[in-house]
Formats: sequence, structure tokens, C-alpha cells
Amino acid sequence: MKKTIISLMMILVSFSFANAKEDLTILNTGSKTGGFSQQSLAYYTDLSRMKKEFNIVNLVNPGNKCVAVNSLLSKIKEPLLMPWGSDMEAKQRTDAGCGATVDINSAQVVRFVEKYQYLCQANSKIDITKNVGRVGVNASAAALPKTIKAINTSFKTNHKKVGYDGWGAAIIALFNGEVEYIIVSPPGNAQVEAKGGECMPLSRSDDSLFAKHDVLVKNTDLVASNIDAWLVYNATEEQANALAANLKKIHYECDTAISRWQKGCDSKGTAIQTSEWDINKSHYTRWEDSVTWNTIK
Amino acid sequence: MIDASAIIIGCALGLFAGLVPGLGYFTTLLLAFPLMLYMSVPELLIIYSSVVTISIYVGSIPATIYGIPGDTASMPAVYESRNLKSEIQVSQAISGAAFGGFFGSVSVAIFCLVMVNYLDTIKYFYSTPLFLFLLTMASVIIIWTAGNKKLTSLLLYVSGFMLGLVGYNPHLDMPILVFTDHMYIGLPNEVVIATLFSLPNIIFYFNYFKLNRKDTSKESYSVWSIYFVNPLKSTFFSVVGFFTGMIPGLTTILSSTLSYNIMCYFTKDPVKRIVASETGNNAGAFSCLLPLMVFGIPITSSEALLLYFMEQNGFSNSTVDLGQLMKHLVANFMVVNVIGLVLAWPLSNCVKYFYRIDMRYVFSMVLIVITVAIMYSAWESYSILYYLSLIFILAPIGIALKNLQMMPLVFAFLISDTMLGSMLIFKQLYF
Repeated sequence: MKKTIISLMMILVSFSFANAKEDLTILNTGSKTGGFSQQSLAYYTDLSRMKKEFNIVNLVNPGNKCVAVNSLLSKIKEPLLMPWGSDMEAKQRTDAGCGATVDINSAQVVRFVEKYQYLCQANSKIDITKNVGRVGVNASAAALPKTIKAINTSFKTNHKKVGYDGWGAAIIALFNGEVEYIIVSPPGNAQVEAKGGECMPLSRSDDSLFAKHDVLVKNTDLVASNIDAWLVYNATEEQANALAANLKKIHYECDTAISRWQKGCDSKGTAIQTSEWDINKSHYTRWEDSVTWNTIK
Repeated sequence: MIDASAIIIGCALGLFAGLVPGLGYFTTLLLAFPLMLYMSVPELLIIYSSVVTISIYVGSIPATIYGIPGDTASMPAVYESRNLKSEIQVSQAISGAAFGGFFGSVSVAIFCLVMVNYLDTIKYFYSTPLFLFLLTMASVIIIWTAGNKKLTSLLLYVSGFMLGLVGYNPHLDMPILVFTDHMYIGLPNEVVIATLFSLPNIIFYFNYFKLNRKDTSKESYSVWSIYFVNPLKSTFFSVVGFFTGMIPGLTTILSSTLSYNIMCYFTKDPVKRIVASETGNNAGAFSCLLPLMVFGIPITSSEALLLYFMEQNGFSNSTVDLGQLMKHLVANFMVVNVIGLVLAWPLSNCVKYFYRIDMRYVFSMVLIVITVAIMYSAWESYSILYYLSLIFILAPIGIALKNLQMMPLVFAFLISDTMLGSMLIFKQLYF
């Protein structure tokens, strides 16, 4: 009898191990108050509800890219999903900071978002090509000093960079008059416009600052370019593909946390997509171009 | 108009946050994660303001009776409670803090409601020179009034500032005193506060209660004479709390600490000092929500989590009817404050019962709770060894300095990042 019970228990244990799904950890590599943190929370919410391929979904939010990459990345052994930015990568290639480098070629990229910065001002009477002023930026965004340099070189101006602790602080500084201009990434421009400010894109548009003034800058297309890549580590190809499919699904549905966060649906309930899902070699080339442009020299 | 379910949930979470040392609002909100996803925007704001407010009301009670910090912002009450000589003074401090907190909260909420159309003007408060001036003034006042020798306080302040800079500094884009990978995150707040502030205080109190009993003589007193006879002072500390509550990253910690230290300059009466501190603390508990409501910008990590929940439920600061939202929030906030007052005030009559409990059990329990809270945080961040090493290094230092007022050190530790950031922005703006 005893042997039977033990055998039964062994079978049950083996069975449960054979069917055990792995856990998934979402590691936020950004600050605790920024966009990466909010998107990690949204993925945590959506994937926890789905629980198809993964048993438990964990969220690790150290609020610091150095700790996330230098300290935690190697310690997490289960499948891991994390965001990484081309400007964050660029910053670490200059011997500055903490050397938190991530080679996206060695990870499986499941989502790709290319975005461009906006130049905003509260006073519509001033013109950045003529009226020299102070330009507020998010201090931790590596690309922005170079963008200001591109503006100064193109228009022979001498704008001064002021680095704030996040986009939010820069937006308030614009409206209280501490700075004349700010550079923000979406959806910061919408926030400024809602408060009566004006914004113009800095690249890849006929309305962009450089296109409007017909100024040729080296790599004009890449001015203020920034790419966010969502990477998967410690997973098999099947697991990564399944995760990518799940992420794509929740981005295409309007009733998910990530869709609500990025206000990704129009009034008719159609999902507006800004992400790219089918990753190929061209994405890696664009990533490298963006990192090269953003690398401060 | 009155949202009973949100108030009950918020008060229950606030009770928890106020009584468990080192828990914090971020972890408290995370504990209620699934529930928060189904709350409406006004409900979320009510819950958040209830958590902060009730934890302040409740947290000041163990802080005053046993010197046990529930909430970081109750540090002044923790320290000052060692100067309360009798049970009646402890009782006065609890009831005075409850009334002071009520006055601070309600006056700020009414002020915000009346000024709702002009709240946008708080953007002018977010001026770097003004920030820097406020933080410098607060630092000077704290060093000046801390109760140590001035040089000692200055050394503690400098040490705290240096400890606060350890780790990767995003403003300077460089690591400072980083010897292992874990140190990029810096010294965790909960470890520094537990080892250099809570532990020395607990040891001090344990020895104190072994040797002394609080004087049980009856004195005639009236809470009205402590507090309401001087509306000018109460208004002043509400104003201090209102403005300092809006400072990113510091909020109520700065409100309570600055109010306390200003009062230290004027009086040696520990009851009045605690009342001033709690008035500022509660006033800051409401004003810290204004940047989020007006600009959609969170100023603490717990507010970032709140914003996430709010956005999940359709919040957009550009489309929200701030007047309507404020009316709803203030009405519920009044009820929350009445609950806070009802929870805290009657306990002032139970002081003698609290002192009958065997202190060995009380302090052992608190040490266990603090250790569990810290180790949970360590486990969550895959840094158990790092946290343990820090505890073993810092705890003996804290014990050795138990007779000093450690607030300059802890305050400087907490503000160092904001202060350095403001200095660098100031330099970029004007030099």
C-alpha cells in the first residue's frame, strides 16, 4: 500500500513537472515614473490575465537601467521580457554612465517602435531659428544634446540645454517660463498642445523643423530618432514567438491595458498601430543607425 | 457624492501602511493591484488620498507612544516623543496631532476647492531657484534646530548627503562609490532609515522603558489650548505643508520635517513640536496630488502607479473636468479626515493601556516586521546579500550613534538627489 501511494505521488509529481509552464519576468529598464515603467505595468496586467504560455508573470521594477542590466539581467533565469532604447544603448557606448550595454542581436526582438521627438514652445511669437533661448530636455535622454547641437549648427543659433528630471518637469518648466523651448517624445507633445502650447516634429515629416526651413543636416532623417525595442531573453524560439503573438494581439485589441495606456484606438474602436512586429534584418540596421546617430561625441 | 466603498478600501489600506514600518505607499498600492484596475478615476484618487491620510493619522500613534516609525514622514514624531515626560503629554501629543492633522488636511482641501480655477498657477512654484532656496532653507533650519551640537548636525548632514549620492547618478551620468553591481541602485531608503534612524530609536526607547516609566500624574490640560487657540500657527504650518508637499520625491517627508524644525526654533515643548509636524504632514498629503491632477505629472513612484491605474480608467488631464473632480475628491476627503480623527483621537485616552504592554514584545515584534519588510524588498530586487551586507555595516553605526538626533543625516540622505538635480539645473539656467 505504502509503495502504491509513493508511486502514485511520484507519478503525480513527474506529471506536474512535465506540464509545468515557466514563469515570465518583465524587467523594467527605465525609471519608475517614465513610459517604460507604465508599459511594463500594462504588459504585466495583460499577460497576467492571459496566462497561456506562462505560469506566473512577475514584474521587476528597479527604476534604474544600470541595476536592471548590470545586476539583474544575469540573475533572472526564466524567460524575460524587457524594453531597451537606442538612446540608452548609445549612451553606454561613450564610456559614460555605468556601461549597461545590451546587444539586441543576441536577444529575440518581439516589438519595435520608432519614434521622433517634438520641439514645443508655449510662446507662439518666438522662433527657434532666430530667437535664442533655453531648451528643456529630459536629462537622461542621450539623444537630445545632439539634437540641440544639430539645431544650433543648422540655424547658427546658440541655444542652451537644460536637463530636467523627466519629461514632466521639462513641460512644467516650459509653461512657467523657465525655458523657452522643450524637446519631448510622444505623447508629451499632445500634453503640451492640450495646454495651449505648439509643437512641431523634428524629423521624417514635411512639417519638421528642418524640412520646413529647407536645412540640410547630416542624416536629417535620423535627427531625434529614437527606437524602443522589446527584447526576450532565456526563451526558446517557440516561447518568444508565442509571446510576440500575444503582445501583438493585446496591441490590436482596444480593451487591453496596453491599448488604454497608449490611447491606441480611434473613436471607431480600431487599433492604431505604431509598433512593428515582423522583425527582419532591416530593423537591426535601423537600430544601429539610430544608435550611431545618438552616440554623443 | 460620498463613495463609501472607495473610502473603506482606502482607509483599510492606509491603516495597514501606517502600522507596518517600511511598507510605503507604492507597495501598499501594489498589494491592491487587481482591485485598483477596476476602480474609476475619482475612486482611485479617493483611495490614494485615504491611504496617505489614514497612514499619517495612524502612523503618528506608535511613533508618539513607542517611538516606532510607521510612515517615513512620522520621523519627527518618533524622535520628539523621547522628550514627552508624562503619559498626559503623550496623550496631548496624540490628540493634538490628530486635531492638527485634521486642521491641516481640511484647510488645504478647502483652499484647493475654492481656488480650483487658479490651480494652474502652481506651475510658478515649480521654479528651480525657488526649489533650491526651499531645500537650502530647510537644510539650514534642520542643522540649526536638530538638538545636537551644530557641528555634529552639520557632519551628520554631510554624511547623509554623501550616502544619498552613492549609486548611479543620472544627473551626473556617473556611478559614485559603486563597488558592486548592486550598488548602482544606491543605498535603499528602507535600509538606511531602518538602521540609522529606526534601530537607534528602538534601542533608545527599549533602554528608556527599562529604566523609566512615563509620569502618570494627572495634569489638567486641554487640547484646545494646545492647538486651536493659535490659528495663526496652525495656518502657517498648513501653508508650509501645502507647498513642501508638492516637491517631487519628498512630499510629506519634507512637509513634516520642515514644520517640525521650524517649530523647534520657537519652542521646546515636545507636544507643540509634534502637533506642528503632523499639521504640515497632513497638509502635504493633499497638495502632493495637485501636480498629478492639474498637469498629469506624478511626483513620486506611488503617484506614477496611481497615474497608471487612472489612465487605465480613461483619465487624461487635458479632458478632465478638474472642478467636478476636485469637488468630489474634497467631499470624500473630508469624510476620510473625520475617520482619521475618530481613529486617532480616542486613542489618546488609552495611553496608559499601551504602556502596560511588555515592551520586550512590542519592540521584538517591530524589529521582526521591519526585518521582514526589508528582506521582502531585498528578495524582490534579487539583492538579499547586498541588503544583508548593508544591514551589518550600517546597524552598528546606528547603534553607536543612538544618543544623537539622526534626523539631519536621514533628511540629507533623502533630499540629496533632488538637491543635486536642482543645483545642476540652476547652473545650466544661469551660468
